[in-house]
Amino acid sequence: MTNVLPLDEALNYGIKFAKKNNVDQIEGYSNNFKEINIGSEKNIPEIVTGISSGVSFRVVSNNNLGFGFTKTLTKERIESTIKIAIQNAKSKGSDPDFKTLPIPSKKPVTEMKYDKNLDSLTADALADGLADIIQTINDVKGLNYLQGQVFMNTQEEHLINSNGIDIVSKTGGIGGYAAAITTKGLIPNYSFGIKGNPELKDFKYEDISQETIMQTKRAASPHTMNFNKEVPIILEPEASFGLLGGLLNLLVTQLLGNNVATGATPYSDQIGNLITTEDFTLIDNGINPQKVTRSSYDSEGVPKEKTLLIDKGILQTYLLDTYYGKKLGLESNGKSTRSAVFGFGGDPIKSYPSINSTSIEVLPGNATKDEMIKETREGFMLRSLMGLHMSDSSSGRFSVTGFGWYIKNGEIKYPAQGISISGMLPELLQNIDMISKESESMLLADCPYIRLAKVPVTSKKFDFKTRFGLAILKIISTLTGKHPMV
Amino acid sequence: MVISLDEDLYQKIFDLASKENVVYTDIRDEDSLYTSIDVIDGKVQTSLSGSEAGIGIRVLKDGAFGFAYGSKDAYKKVFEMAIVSQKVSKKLSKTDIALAPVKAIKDSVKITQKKPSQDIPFEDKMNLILETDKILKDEENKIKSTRTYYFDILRRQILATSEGMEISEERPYTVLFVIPTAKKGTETNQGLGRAGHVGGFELFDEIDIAQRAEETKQRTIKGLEAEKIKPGRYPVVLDGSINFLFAHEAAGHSTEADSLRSAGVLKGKLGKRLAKNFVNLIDDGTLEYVPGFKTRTFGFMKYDDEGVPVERTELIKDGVLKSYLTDRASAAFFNLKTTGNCRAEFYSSYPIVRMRNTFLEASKGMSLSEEEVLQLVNNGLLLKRGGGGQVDSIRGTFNFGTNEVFEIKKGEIGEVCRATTIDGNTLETLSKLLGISNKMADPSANVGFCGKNGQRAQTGTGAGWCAVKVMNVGG
Repeated sequence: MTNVLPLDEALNYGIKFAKKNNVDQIEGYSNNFKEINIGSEKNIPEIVTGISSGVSFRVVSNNNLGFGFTKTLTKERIESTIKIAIQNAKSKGSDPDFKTLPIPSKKPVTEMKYDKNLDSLTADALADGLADIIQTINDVKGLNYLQGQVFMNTQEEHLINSNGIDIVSKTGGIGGYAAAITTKGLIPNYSFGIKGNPELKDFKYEDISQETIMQTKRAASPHTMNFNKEVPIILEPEASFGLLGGLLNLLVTQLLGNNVATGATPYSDQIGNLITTEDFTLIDNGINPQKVTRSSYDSEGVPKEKTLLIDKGILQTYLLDTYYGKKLGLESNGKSTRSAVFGFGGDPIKSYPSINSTSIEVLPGNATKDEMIKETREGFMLRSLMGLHMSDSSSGRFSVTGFGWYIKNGEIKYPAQGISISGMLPELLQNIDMISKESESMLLADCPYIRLAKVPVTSKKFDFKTRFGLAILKIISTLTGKHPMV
Repeated sequence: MVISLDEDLYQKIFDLASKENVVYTDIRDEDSLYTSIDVIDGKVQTSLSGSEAGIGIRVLKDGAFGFAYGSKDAYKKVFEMAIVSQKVSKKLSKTDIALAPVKAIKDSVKITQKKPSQDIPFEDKMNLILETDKILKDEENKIKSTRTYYFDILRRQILATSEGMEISEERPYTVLFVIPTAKKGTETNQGLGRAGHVGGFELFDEIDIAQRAEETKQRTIKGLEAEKIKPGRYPVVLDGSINFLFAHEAAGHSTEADSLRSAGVLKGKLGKRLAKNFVNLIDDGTLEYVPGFKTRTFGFMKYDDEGVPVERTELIKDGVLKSYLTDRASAAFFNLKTTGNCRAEFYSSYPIVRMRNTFLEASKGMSLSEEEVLQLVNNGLLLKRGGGGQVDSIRGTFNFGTNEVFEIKKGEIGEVCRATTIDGNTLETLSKLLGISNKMADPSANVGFCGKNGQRAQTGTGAGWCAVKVMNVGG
C-alpha cells in the first residue's frame, strides 16, 4: 500500500513508461469515480457508496492497438499493464484499417459545465429524497411502493494522447427510479418511473413519485387474453427508447459504425436511401444539456455533437468513433464511450473505448396521441417490453413480450399483460403511419408516440387453474387486507 | 502472483468497527485478473488485459447494513463511507436485519487449472481464436459474418469477517463463444456455440473446439434454410440447455429470497404444490463434474461471498415448493436455513442472492429416456440450445430465445425449423410439465451469465430433456 501513486502521477508514469518502450503512439486515461446509490426494496434498504480510481492505456505498436487497465496504482503494476498492452498490440499483427489515435480536433467544442452542487450532495440527502418518494407512493390508496433507487455519481477524467490531446473533465448527475404495485383487479401489476438530470436544480424527487403513481394507476387490473392477429401497435416513448427494453434501441445498434463496417446490419451502404417512412427523423445528441450523458468530448477526445442520423426517413450517417470513421471513409462524430452509462452497468476504467449512442431524439409528428388511439380500430399501445437482447441485430428480427393496453374501436379498453410482438424491424420502420406531436423526455432519449401500422401479435389468456389461484389470493387479500404476493 | 492475506489491515478495520459498536463486519479484498479477445470476421477487434483490485466493507449495526468500496490504501475512508451508508440505511429501514447463524470457517481454496490461462502467451490465445474463427466460414459463402469471443478471469478474493471467518479463494473461468451469421437475401440466422468451464486453458484439450465451431456453423446454415414456425401454442420438448434456461430464468429467479421480501409470484407459496410429483427444481453449487464430462460446471464453487459453504438446494421437491434461495439476511427473514447463494460480482458490488447450477430433475425412479420424453409430446416442437432469456418475477412471465428447433412427429424428431423464441407464465409452465429425463447435458456447452441489479454471475448447467404440454412459441 505504501507505493501507491496519486492518480495523475500514475497516468503520467504509464505514458512515460510506454514511450520508453518505443510504442508508436500512446493514450492514457484516468478516472476517479464516486457514487452514492441509495436503494430500497420495499422496507429493506440497499446502500452502496464508493470511490474507484484507475488508469487504462491504449498503445499503438506494429500498427495496431493494445489495451490494458489497472486499479492498483503501483509502478510495478502500471509497468506490467503497459507491457501486456504492447504484447497485445504486437500479437494482433498490423491492421491496415488503423490510421492513428485521434488528433486534436478543429471542430467546435460545446462547453458542458459540471454542476458543482453535486459535490455537496450527501447520502443522507439522497435517502431523504427516496424516503419522500416511498411515502408519497404509499399515501396513494391501492398502491404499494415496491422498489426504487436514487443515485448520484461524478467522474473526474483525464485523457492524454501522444498526438497532443490533453483533456481534464468532470461530469456527473443525479437520477432515480421507483416501482409500485397495485393489487386492484384479479392480477396484480406494477409499473415504474425513471428520471435523471445533470444538474441538481432540475432534479425533483417528486417527479419520480408522480410518474410512478400515474403509470401504476394506468397499469391496474390487467387482463390476459387470447389473441393472434396482425394489428396496429402504438409504441409509447418508453417502449421505443426506454432503458428497460425499448424496441428502437435495436435500430440504434444497427447504426453503430462497428456493425456497419462488418456488415452486421441491413444499413451498410444505405446512406442517402430512404430506410423508414418520411415522417421519421432520428438524432443522436451528445450535447443535449438536459441529459446525464452530456459532456464536451467523447471518450477519445473528439468533441461531442448533435448528429442527424435519419432525416425524414433518409439515412444520413452512422454513429462513429475515429477508427470506424476512417474505416468507412467518414469522420468521427464523437460517439466513442467507455461503457459506463450513468448509474447503470459498465466500469469506464475497464472498458475498451467503443461506439455507443449518447442521447437519442426522435422528432415529433403531426398527430395527437388521442388521434392515434381514435384511429386504431383494434390494436395495442405498449409501454414495457422484455426479451429485446435476444434480437438479431444483423437482420432486425425480434420477438418481445410486454405490457400495454388493448384498444378497440378507437378506445383504450383495458391494460393487457403478456402481449408478444415479433417481426423484422427494417420492415416495421417502413410501416410507421403516425407519430405524435407529444414527446416525452426520458433519461437517455426524447421520443414521441409512434404507431406501426401492422405487427404480428400473439397473447394467451391465463388458464383456469392460474385464474382460480389468483381469485383465491384476491379473496385472501380482501379478507385480510394484505395480498400474499406483496 | 497470488493474493495474500492482509490480516493487519483487516484487524485495523475490525478495530475501527468495534469503536463504532458495529456488530458484524465483512471485508472482501479482491485482486482479480482479466483477459478478453474479440475476433470479428477473422480480425481481432478488441483485446484487453487488466487487473481489478480493491476492498468492499459491509457493516451491520442497529439492524441495518452499510456498504462501501474503494482502494485498500483508502481503507479508513472506505470504512467511514460504510458507516455513513449504515446510518442512512437505518433511517430508511423499517425492518431490522438479522443474520442467520453460520460457522466461522478458515479455509484457503484454490480451484485448480491444469494449464493456467494467465500463463498462456497472448499469441497462443490469439492463434487459437483466429483459427477457430476461420472454421466458422464456409466455402459456399453462406456464412456472411463470424465472431469468436474469448475471455479468462482469475477471481482472487479474500473474505474476512468479524466473526472470525477467513476464506481466500482463487476461482478461474475460461470461456469461448463462436457466433456465425448466415445470410440469404434479407434473411439472416445467427448461431451460437459456447465452450466454458471453471478452470484454465485445458478446456481446449478436454473439448474439440474445432468440432464445436464446425457444428455451430452447420446448424446456423441449416437453420437459415429451414422454414419459419408459425407463431402459436405448441406442445414442446425442451433440451438440457433450455431446461437450464427455464429452471434458472423463470423458476429460479422467482425463488430468490432477497427479492421475495418485497414481492413475487412465489411469495407465500412455501409448502404449496407447484408441479406434478415427479418435478424437482435444483440449485446446486456443489456439482463439480457431470458424469461423462471432464469440464467443471459453470456454477461450481466452494463458498458463497458470505463464507457460507454452497450446497445442493432442493427448491421444489416432488412438485412442492420447499425452499427459497437465501443469503444470511433473507434466511433469517424467512426463518429458513442458509443455502450459500450470496454472491457479489466484484468487491465493489453489493452482495445479493444469486443462483449456481440450476435445473429441473425428475424424482427418483421417475426419470424418462429422451425418447420417452419425445413420445409424451408426440406431435410438437423440440427446442434446443437456449439463446438467452429474461424474466419478470413479479408478473411471473418469461421470454427465451432458442437457437435450434425441430419438428416432433409421432414422437420422432423431424425436420429442422428456424430459430425462435418462447414465452409464458412460470407457474403455468411448471404445472404443465409432462416428464423429465435426468440425462445431463455437456456442462461446457451450458455456461450462463446471469444479470441482476447490474451484476453478472456465472451460472450453469445443462440438464435433461423435459416435455411441456403447451407453450407459446414466437415468430
